[in-house]
Amino acid sequence: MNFTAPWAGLLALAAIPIVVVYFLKLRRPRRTVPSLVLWQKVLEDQRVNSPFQRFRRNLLLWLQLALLACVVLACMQPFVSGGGGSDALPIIVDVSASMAARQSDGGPTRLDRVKEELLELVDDLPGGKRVAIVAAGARATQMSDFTADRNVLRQAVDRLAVEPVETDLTPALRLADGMTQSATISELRLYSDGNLPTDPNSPDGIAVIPFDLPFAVDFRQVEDEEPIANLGIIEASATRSGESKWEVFIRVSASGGPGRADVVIMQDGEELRRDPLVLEAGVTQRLAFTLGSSSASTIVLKLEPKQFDALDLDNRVRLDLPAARPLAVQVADSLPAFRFAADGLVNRRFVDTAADLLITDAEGTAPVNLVIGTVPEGLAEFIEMTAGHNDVVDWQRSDPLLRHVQLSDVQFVEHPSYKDSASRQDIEEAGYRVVAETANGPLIVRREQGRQVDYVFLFDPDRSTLPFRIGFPVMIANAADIATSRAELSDVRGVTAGVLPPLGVDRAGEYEVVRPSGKTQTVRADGRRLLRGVVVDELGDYVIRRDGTDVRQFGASLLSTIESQLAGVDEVRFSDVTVEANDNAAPSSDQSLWRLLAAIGLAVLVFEWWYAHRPALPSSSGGRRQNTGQPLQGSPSSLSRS
Amino acid sequence: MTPTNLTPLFPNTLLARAERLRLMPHRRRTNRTQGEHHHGKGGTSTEFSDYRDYVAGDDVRFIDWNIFSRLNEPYLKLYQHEEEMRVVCIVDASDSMNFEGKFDLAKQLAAVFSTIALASREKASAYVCGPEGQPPIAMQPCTGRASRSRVLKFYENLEVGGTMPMERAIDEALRRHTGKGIAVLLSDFLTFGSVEASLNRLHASGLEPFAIQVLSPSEIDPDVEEDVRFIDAELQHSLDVSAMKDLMALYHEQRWNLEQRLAAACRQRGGRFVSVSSDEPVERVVVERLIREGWLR
Repeated sequence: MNFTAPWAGLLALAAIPIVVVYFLKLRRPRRTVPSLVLWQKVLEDQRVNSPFQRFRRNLLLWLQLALLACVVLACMQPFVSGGGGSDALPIIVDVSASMAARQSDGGPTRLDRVKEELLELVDDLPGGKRVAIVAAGARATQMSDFTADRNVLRQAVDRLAVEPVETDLTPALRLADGMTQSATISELRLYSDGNLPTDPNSPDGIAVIPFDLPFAVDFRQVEDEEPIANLGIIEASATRSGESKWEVFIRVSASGGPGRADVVIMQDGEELRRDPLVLEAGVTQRLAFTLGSSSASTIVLKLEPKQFDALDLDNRVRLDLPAARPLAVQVADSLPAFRFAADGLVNRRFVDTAADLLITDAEGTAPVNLVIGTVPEGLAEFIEMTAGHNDVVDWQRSDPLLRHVQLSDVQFVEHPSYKDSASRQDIEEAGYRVVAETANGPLIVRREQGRQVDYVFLFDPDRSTLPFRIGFPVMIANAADIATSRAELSDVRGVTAGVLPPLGVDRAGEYEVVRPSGKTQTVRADGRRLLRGVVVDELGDYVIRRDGTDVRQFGASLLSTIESQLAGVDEVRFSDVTVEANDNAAPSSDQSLWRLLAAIGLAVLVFEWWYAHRPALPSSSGGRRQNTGQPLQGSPSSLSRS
Repeated sequence: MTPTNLTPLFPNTLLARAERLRLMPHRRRTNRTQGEHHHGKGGTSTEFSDYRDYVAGDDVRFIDWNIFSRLNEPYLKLYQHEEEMRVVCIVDASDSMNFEGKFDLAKQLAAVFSTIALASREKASAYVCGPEGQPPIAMQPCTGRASRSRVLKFYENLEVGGTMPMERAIDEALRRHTGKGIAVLLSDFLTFGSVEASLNRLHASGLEPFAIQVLSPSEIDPDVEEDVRFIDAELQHSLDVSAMKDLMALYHEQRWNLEQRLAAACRQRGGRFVSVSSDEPVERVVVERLIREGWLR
């Protein structure tokens, strides 16, 4: 036990005046009696029968001294150390979507319970102890720097709010690691419900976080008293089926208990259908609906629970279906083979600008670009063109561009080769991924920049047998599929929280993003008419405006299997150590004892008051003996008082 | 019209009743001098007691001639022996008796006993012991109803005060007293010394102790709840007592032990003992205690 204010022990000197005043006050009333004979014998008996009488005689004094001791000890602010050797304690709080789960209707959320415990910790924060609070969602947010200021910490705790995202603790751990530069940290405290990404190869479901811990982790799991039932939509997508139909798919998961709800489908604000759904615990079910729409429309899929549902965030999904239109393809005139192959694509139209698929021999600006016969500037220092016969030795058959494409017998007259000591690693470090290569160098590389994907053919197809292979039109069709998907012409997926990939807009300039809560964010579209950096941190409907005119709308949904299935893990495996949830009854913080002492002091005070003012007992009969309680039969005095 | 009492000690009714009462000692402790106290057979009073066979040398005046004429056998008539008995009242007049009418009741009871003795043609005397080192105030032995007013006046004029303990008072009285009979002891018997030794000397002197302990109501059932400093009225000693409620049972037990000890001491010496409260009227003490318990008849 330690003391925060040991100097307050000087208050114990107050015992001196208490003792003095007590004995000064103890001026007994004088009472003259005929004789002290009986009283003298009574006291002699009393000393024999009651050796603690001396103590009882001064019980009030002892009570006063006990009260003073309680007050002095309380003023000294004793506390029992709750662990954490260093003075700085970073606290990471999981604020992912699952922390919004409740145990009962109207009850506190998991995050509310964590905040309550944090406020107690802040209230009991011993002097000299500094705490920093970090919120861990998809990214880390430092709510407070290391401080012992309780007001700052309380405000930081109050600002903690659930983010509709999956948990990623790595950024928060990196942030805490960075804090070690400014403070000595021996332990980090983690509050989480355990809804963390798990190791798929681990049968017992251990969360895995690839991070080297420079400090110990005290994992405080927020547990529920019993499994809580939750029904949520974990997947949602739509696929165009023909000119005017969409196939809408959702996957609903039930966890913690059986779920019962109505699945409601609304299109442009009108309810299309309502189907009852009953799921057993731990079961997921895929639901499919067919909708007719040739123009742009908004689909909202809702779960309306018919029983307690722990998490509300995963009950709504919005899909924005674009209007049906042909794919916009632009092919450079210098590439007739590609134009010829693209000419055979279904539902396409050739354009000169704003293409969904651009096949060019220069820099690509479309969402999907096939850059032919050009070595990008970033790769020029690693690659050179070499004349001579060569064969493809390997290609990524799973790459969307090369699916069902056979390159093994393609011949090259001129092919790219690695310069000097350059290697594949240099290509990858430059941001490219090799999807096809010869023995001497890469043939096709891929680069993704936000919403844009570039496939760069480092060789001249006209100087190879590729255009003559059956795989060539297949490859062009694959590129068209990629572009169609990127342009959301055929597939639409629900938008999840986070930072959106670049959105294509008509004009460059400033745009205003209106969030579901009404807050706005201003973003700028660059010269490539891509709107970057749109932050989605709320679930609901977003509107993108320019000059007061709605340009685009979309809706954000949770769509997370981990967050919807609320059963967390109690073990986290870091890179070099596995941490289990700390379920023991150890104090969560340095336990301040002044409240206990104050309560004891109050009890002593009440007892002292009662003792001093206790009601008088009925006068014992003069003819009764001690111990036996028998009346003194025949006692002369008893007879005299008939 | 209320009749004037003969003495302020008690009403005339009690005085009249006392003159009709007789003392009932356990044993014959009489003197040779003739008195009105029926002592036993073989006396010369007019009250018949028994018959016995005539033996040579008996006074023929006491032969029942009627029986002799019928049985032709001489039988001697025996009469109650009437002898004089000394009744001495030893009254404790120390300061401890000066509480809540203790001394008043003691005076009244002493006057009653003396009145009974005078009416029974016994010799009554009294010793009132108060101040330490001074001889007791004595009432010389007197007898006959003619002495009644003198005896009552003696008790009326008594003053209380002094520190003489009861055992010393008994010794002082015995030093001056002669004759057998009854010694009426009127005191609270709250003394640090031992009364038993004095009772032994009393017994050896042919006096049967009639001990009456007079206690005040506050001594019988003290009403003290707080811590208090007791002051001894006689010796002015002080005693600090705390936790009074816890001590009351012990107090009552000690008082009861004292009464039992005094009663046993008197009983073992052929005497009697009673403890009375000073708030009881003297009539009730006489009628309900002394007569009922056989002290008087």
